[in-house]
Amino acid sequence: MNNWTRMNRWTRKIKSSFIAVPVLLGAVLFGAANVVAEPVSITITEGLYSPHPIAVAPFVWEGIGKRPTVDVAAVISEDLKRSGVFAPISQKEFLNDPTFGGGVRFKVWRTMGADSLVLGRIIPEGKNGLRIEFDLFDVYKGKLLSDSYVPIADRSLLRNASHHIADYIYETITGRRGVFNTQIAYVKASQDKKGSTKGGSGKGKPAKKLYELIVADADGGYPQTIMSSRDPLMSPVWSPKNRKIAYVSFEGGKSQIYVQSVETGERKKIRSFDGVNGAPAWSPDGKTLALVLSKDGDPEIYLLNIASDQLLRLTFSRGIDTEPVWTPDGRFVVFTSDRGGTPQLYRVPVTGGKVKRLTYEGRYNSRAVFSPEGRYMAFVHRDEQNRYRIAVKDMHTEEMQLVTDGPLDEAPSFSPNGDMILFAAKGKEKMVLKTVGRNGLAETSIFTDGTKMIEGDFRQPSWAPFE
Amino acid sequence: MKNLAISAILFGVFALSGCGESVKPEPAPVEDVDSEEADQDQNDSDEEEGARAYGTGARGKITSVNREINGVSYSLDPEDMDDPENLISQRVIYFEFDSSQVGEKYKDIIMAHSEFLLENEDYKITIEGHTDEKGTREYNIGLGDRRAGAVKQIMELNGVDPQQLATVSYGEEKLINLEQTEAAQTQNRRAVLVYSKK
Repeated sequence: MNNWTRMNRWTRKIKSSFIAVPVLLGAVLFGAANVVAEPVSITITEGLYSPHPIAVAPFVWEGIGKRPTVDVAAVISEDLKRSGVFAPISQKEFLNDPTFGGGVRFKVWRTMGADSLVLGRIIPEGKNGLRIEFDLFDVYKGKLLSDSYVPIADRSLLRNASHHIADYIYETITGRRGVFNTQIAYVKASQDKKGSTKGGSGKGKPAKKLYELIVADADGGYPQTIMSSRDPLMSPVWSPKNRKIAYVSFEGGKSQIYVQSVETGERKKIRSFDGVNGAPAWSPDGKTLALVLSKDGDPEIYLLNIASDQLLRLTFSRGIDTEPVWTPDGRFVVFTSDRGGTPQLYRVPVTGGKVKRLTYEGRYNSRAVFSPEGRYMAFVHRDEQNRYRIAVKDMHTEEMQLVTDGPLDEAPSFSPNGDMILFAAKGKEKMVLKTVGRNGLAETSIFTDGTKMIEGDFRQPSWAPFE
Repeated sequence: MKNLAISAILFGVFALSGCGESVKPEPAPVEDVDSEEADQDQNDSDEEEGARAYGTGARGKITSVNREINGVSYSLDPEDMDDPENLISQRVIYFEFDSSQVGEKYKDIIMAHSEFLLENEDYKITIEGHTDEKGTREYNIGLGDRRAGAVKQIMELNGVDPQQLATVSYGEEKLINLEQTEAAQTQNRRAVLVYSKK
């Protein structure tokens, strides 16, 4: 059995176990007092937002023999930290030795600046199962917010269980769903060792590249290749539901768009045309793809109804029109065009019609993507030092904030709760995947091989929606 | 040095040198002042078209179906197509940053390939468009497509049957030089002509 089915079954089980735990009342009370509950309070220019300080104590191992290798508290802290919304306090700064189940000396935790505290323990259960118990405290008010537990049937699921606890804490305190148990997709390019020619001709023909479409946990854990090819793979993007990924494959020497089911691996080729078939983008209802075709001379934006194969051309300009994305209300397609001389963002109604320019800041703004509720637009902005940085524009206030420093950041994708942005960045030599809070805090590299950060050629990440 | 080689080809030294000397035509980017001068000279020779001699007699092994363009002789015989001394062996066209405009200096090469396709109807060309790594990947797919399309359009204007032409844009997916230098980026901005038999 592969990780998917195993994880999904497990997730369902956990979900149902959570329903039984009545703790959300505390979240409401707590949230009103001193917690960031309104999304608007996070929309602040750099420096003004201060993340919520939380202490996550080491989880006590109450079994006999070897403790599990996963450090639950560390995984939870890391998750919360990279959201940019929380500031976990390092365990080194702890002033007292926290114990699970005993009395909590809130005054000491307050001295350390903690607003919230998590204590927990791990108890063996059944043959190879574990029961992870945790308490979440409001340090300010000196009260217990939640005492819950997560059962897992196998120790190998402890990392996922830790993400799930992080989600739970996130939602209890912010009122928004956590994203640490979601998944991402991305393209990895590498030299195919099998394909390299040794000896023989002596001409030193370079090793063939191998492109892989990979689905992994949101923190890079459990990477699984769902498609591989010697020809480039590009532009993976999750469907709004049913766990499908649309992507571009150059197999056979031409670009074609495929839609592939993550679970079954079954894939379908979308109607294709001469020239570019690229940059697929799902409509919010999942029935239509916006895409780029150059069949009529140069790259233009089209809508393709997947069921009927009906095609509607949306743009009519000489030059490059590309990188379409739907506004979450389904009314517009936003795209990149060089019609004004430099690449800028524009929008066009999905029924066709008048095109409106959206960006005027600088000489390069491209590849827009919207936060799920539609308020924020992230895109790639080239600054005056020619650095390519991720920018976020608040569509209500028109305020733009640069949330990364470049020099070569690209392909932003919002987390399903809109609080984080996943993107590809040039590392020392190669591309890495990173996340950053929408507020510009906590830029973090993703563990692209599951356990440690490696530089490779990682590209075009797409964050899966909530299931 | 590269500039010299290209200039030599453009002005017919190549045709005369024939089998003796090995003038290695290196289809490298030529973007500095020298090359602009070369373009200028080339334009001058265009004006003198009527005065140009057709074939000088001192040819190398390229003998079967020869043509000449701006004093450069080339062969339309498929047997010679990979001969480094044949203009047809030059299959890369370089571009300026964020531009899909074909430089004057490449029009002769494209004309030669057009003639080749007109002469050899069983051949076709896939024009691959490539870019450097600056900018987003999707935009670069668009830019590569524009580059391939610009070359295709010239070939069609030269009378080539569109059935013999296809384009594919790889954007920045197939960089040939991964260095961070400007020279490396220049090499990546290109259209490549790939022959196949129908």
